[in-house]
Amino acid sequence: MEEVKMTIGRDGKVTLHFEGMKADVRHCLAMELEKLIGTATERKHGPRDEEVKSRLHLHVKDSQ
Amino acid sequence: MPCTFVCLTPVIIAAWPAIMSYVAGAVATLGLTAVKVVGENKTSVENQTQEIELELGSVQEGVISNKQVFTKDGIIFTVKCDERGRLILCAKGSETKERLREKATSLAGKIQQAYAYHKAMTQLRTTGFKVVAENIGQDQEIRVMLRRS
Repeated sequence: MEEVKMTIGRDGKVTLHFEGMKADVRHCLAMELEKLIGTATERKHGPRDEEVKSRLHLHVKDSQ
Repeated sequence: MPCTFVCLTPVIIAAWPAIMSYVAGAVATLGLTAVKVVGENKTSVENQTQEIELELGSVQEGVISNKQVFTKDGIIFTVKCDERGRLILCAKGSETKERLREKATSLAGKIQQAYAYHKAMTQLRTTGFKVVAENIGQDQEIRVMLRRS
């Protein structure tokens, strides 16, 4: 079962929490939403951090 | 199973009619009243002393003259497309700049919230997710839980 918990603050900021997904699916979904909504200001996730970091120039921190 | 957190700050990029639908939702929530603009009249705006502007994003398809005006508590809010295609929220009133910025930021947040909700929900539904819970907290935060098998 794949799950997304989304919170949209009164300031419009969106926090997404993905659970139960393979790394590829998580990254694909996260990047697709980022492309549609706006700029990712924080990202914490598991494998492939370095790849995402180099592509998006974001601060990446392993949450595991 | 690993999980991922992502925090996104919305940048509105849409056609003018779509932007107006997000604005309409935000305006209704905050109790603002639409003002009919007749030409480039100055009316009560001229009497106001302070003005601030916030940039919300860009207009994909729109005309520079496109604008919509709302008012509440003596503050006049204008959502407009400038000559560079930027989406601008302008607040004018006799209050302090800090107070105007606070009010404009509140409206901007609501517009961005409506935009982000629409974009995210459309994308998540397209990719097979179904809403299992949704609520709006007292803090006006929208919380949605979606699942797919």
